[in-house]
Amino acid sequence: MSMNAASSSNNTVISVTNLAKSFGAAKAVQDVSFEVHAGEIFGLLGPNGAGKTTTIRMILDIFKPDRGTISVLGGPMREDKKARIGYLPEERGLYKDLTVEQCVTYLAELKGVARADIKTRAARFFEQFDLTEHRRKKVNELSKGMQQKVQIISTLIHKPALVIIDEPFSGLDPVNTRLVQDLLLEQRAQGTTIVMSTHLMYQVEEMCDRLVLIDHGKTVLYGGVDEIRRSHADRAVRVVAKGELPAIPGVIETSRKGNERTLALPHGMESQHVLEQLVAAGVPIEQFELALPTMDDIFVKVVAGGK
Amino acid sequence: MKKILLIALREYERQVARKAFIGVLLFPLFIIAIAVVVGFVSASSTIHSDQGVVGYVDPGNALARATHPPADADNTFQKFDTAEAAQAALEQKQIIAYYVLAPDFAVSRQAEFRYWQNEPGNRVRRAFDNFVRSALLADIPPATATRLMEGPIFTQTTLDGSRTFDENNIMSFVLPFIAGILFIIALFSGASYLLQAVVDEKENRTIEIVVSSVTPMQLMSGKVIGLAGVGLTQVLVWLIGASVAVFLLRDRLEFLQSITIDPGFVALAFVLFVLQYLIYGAIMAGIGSIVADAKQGQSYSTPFTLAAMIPWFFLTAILFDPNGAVAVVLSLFPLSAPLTLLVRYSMTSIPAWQLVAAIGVMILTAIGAMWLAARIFRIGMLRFGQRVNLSEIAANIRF
Repeated sequence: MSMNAASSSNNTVISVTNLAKSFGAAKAVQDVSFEVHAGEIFGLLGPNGAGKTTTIRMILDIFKPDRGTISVLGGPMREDKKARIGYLPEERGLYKDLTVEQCVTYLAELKGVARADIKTRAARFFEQFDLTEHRRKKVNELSKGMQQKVQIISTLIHKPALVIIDEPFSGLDPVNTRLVQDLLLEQRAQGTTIVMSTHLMYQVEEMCDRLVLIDHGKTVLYGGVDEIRRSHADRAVRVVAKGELPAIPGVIETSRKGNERTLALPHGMESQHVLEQLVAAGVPIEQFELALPTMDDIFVKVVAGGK
Repeated sequence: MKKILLIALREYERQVARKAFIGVLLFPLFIIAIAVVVGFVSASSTIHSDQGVVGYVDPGNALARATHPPADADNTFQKFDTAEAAQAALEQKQIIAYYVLAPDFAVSRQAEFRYWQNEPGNRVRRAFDNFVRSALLADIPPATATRLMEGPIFTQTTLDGSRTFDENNIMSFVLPFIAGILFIIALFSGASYLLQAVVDEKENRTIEIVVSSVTPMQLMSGKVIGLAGVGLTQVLVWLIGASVAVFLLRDRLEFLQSITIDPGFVALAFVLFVLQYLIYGAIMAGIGSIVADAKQGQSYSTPFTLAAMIPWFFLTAILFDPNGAVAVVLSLFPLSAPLTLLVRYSMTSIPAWQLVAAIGVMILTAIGAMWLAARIFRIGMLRFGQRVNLSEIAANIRF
């Protein structure tokens, strides 16, 4: 399946078209296209080895693509753009022999932030992440979760316009997961564009505006999260109502949990028709909605279907 | 440029703070200490067996007018009338050895040297030779005699008059060798730091974060420059240490007084050192980026470190013919040039074109090595825990 991204607009922060990259005989990326819009959280999804990391590395000009075009922040990747991008790779680490403060300062200086600014911004982040009392500790004295927080601070301290973050929640407990989630949503509210690669599909549903799903180096799914869920709906509705439901010709009850039922609709029947029938029969309806599949279901279906 | 300096500074701070670095700084001190101990032990044993009275039997009276050394000299000379008398004194350990001169010694120069068990060293023979000379020079005016006794001092001057080689200034020969040894130590330790630094960056997974801020070339240049700074610090500390030592020991050790440092030599050594460091820095950074761990890196880097040692293997050829084909070829090969040039500098006047060509080749090699290493770095840097095949490097070198 090949998909071409729509034509670029001013709103586009990243545009990737027909990207391909091989390492020797291994085809890491074969045909990937998508666009990331300004101010959105964009999900870059795919099973292990699908080509996500290679795609990110090509966007950041760490690898050169064999084929295809990439536009980042309004044109080809250039050195000066690196200061406007925050990147947290999947294979990440910190300088273990430095203190938290030294480590954050060094990485921020490499992004071109002035020392005085680093100090005030770092102090604010340390406060927010509960790291103030640990800031003079060496990195290797910190727990994995705390190191993860230091990494996220290093990714955001230079106020990037674009954040690319690979598995932002790995190694975090539920409290810190919530903390990072809120931080990313806060960044989006401030206008930062975020590309997020994650395996946690509920996070995608909760946070992402749009997504691309890559499998075997190819784009297999691309678009808005709601739009994708709707397009994968199995022509079914979810009804919560007390008592028995009247029989509607062609409609089959596929599952029932207490008062919650899923009804499969025949081809050509609108959900509106079912609702009208139920109302006409005087059924006390508590909830009526399209039975949208979870992103988890869609992920498994699309990836398993591709095999 | 600012980013390169930041990386260089960070690498410098990191390396200088290492305990191992202090060890390297103290290494020459360790060598000197061993040399002093060895020298002291051997000197004390020779002095013991060489000090004392030396007898002589002089039937022809050839040494009648010889000038006796002062009584507090290591050796004084006592005349015996017969060989038997001298032998008896030797057996009673009154003397450490004795000479029996032929009756016609003045003409035949025949003499026998007899000793008991331990053969006295050369110092005894030299002292007796001087004693004999003083007899032969008795008729010559004292000033002339002194000059003759001291012998000539040859000072060679190159044809263009730019350099002189003073026989007495033994340090002018020794210094390039010492510089060469320190060069190799500084280079090898620096190279292994750099290899380790690149492997570390891969192992602690910081490399990908860093290359999202700087180019691989900037990262590598920063590291190489930082480590060149570490190397220069090492050499500077050694030089200051040596200068302080020379200053303190000047009055006690005669040979130190003759030390004169040739500014040309210092300048050449500095240029060669920096270039060599840049070349090896690039090589090590390239190797560090394609290997899985430091151990594997060491085995990859061995051929390159051996290349720097080539001049040692051909030392005899270079010393024998410092402007010969071997010396010239090794001077123009960038990896062996520094050591070869330093050794040759002490032996001969290196033709200007060779110096220019050698340094030119080294500059080009340094640039080429950095360029190549940055590309290899790009291919290898994100391979965690696995090495990269040479064929893969060759296939991807284009970007």
